[in-house]
Amino acid sequence: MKKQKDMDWELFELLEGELTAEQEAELLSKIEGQSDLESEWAFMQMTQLETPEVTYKHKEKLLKKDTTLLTFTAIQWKRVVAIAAMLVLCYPIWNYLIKTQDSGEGIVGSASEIIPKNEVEATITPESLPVEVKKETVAVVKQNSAPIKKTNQPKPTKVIDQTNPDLKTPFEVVSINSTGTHVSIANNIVDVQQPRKAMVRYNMDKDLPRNESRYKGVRSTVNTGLALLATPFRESKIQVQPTDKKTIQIVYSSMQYNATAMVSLKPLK
Amino acid sequence: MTTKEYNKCVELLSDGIFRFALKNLRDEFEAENVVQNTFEKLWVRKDKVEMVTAKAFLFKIAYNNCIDIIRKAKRSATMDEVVENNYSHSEQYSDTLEIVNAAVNRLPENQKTVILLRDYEGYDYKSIGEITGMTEAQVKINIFRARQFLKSYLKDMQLVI
Repeated sequence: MKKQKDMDWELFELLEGELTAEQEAELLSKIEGQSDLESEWAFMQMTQLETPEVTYKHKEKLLKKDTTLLTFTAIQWKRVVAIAAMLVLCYPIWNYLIKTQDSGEGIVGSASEIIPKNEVEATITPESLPVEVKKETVAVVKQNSAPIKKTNQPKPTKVIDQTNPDLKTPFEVVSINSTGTHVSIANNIVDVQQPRKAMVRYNMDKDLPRNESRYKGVRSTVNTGLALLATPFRESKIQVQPTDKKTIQIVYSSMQYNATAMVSLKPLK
Repeated sequence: MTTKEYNKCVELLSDGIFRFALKNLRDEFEAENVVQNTFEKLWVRKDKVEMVTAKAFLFKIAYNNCIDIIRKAKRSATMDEVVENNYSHSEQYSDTLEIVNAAVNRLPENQKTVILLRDYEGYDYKSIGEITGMTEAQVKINIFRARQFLKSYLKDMQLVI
């Protein structure tokens, strides 16, 4: 009985692969010689279960949506939105810094080119100017804007226009061509802390009516020119006055500088 | 474990878990419930379970689940019942595979579990011990007893056939 149990255990270990190669060979040779052992070994081998093909049909119910990519994308979008929001918020600051740091260099009629008044007066005669630069404050468009402070310091003056045939150098001038006809712009003074907007409000609607086709293109040209020319004169006052039928004169004045510019206008085709 | 790894586990292991549960419970509906519960538990604990240990984790959960169901349904194939029905031979079998399957169904629960894990899933004694809470020696002896029972059953059935 014990011998049978031992044999069963040996056959079990043979089936389980628990024997060494030598033990396995020895046992197999022992089995081969005895029919009862062969039968026992055959039955033992039959106890090894074959894996049945079973398929679980509801795998889809167990699967989970992989939200990793979505999360990642959402984070990316959040970052993009955050960066965009930061840019939008920073733009006014950036714009302000640009304004305050802008030396005017490279801009038409920049401050660096402006001739001090005492030097200009030596070369500019009053007769050569198309119109006399008004030094007096005529009106203040913006109600809350402070009137021009007059100073006793000499103010540099500059006339900017080279295309006006009526004008003769020695003035250092820059042209701003237009497609408009003669524009009659009333004398006035505008606060140019925001020169682009200020100039539009000041000149355009009053002196260049929107619904008149003959002024088509003039408004934007004048506005662009004024904005460019006003750049070096931030925090200054600007005065626009008519000169002749083809030009307008812009007079800038500030604590340090006083300058004029000419914008020549051509008739509409 | 990531969601992707979890889904990979579903693809690779759900069949095996279902087979294991089905063989233990002999009830397709219950076996499906076991699979669902098992993977639900894996999903809940997916952050704590590594991919390499997922299979053992799943079988352990499934095993415990099966045990609970068997106990609740009082369908546990105790040794007494096996002995009682052991040689009734009321069924008609056409081949050895059916006989083996019938014999497996008559095994005591612990023996059935270890032999299923051993032969179906190819686990070693140590892994089976981790799943079932047995020692390696207990696993081995249970497998031995299961094979002895199957062998005796087969021998007996061969005489009948």
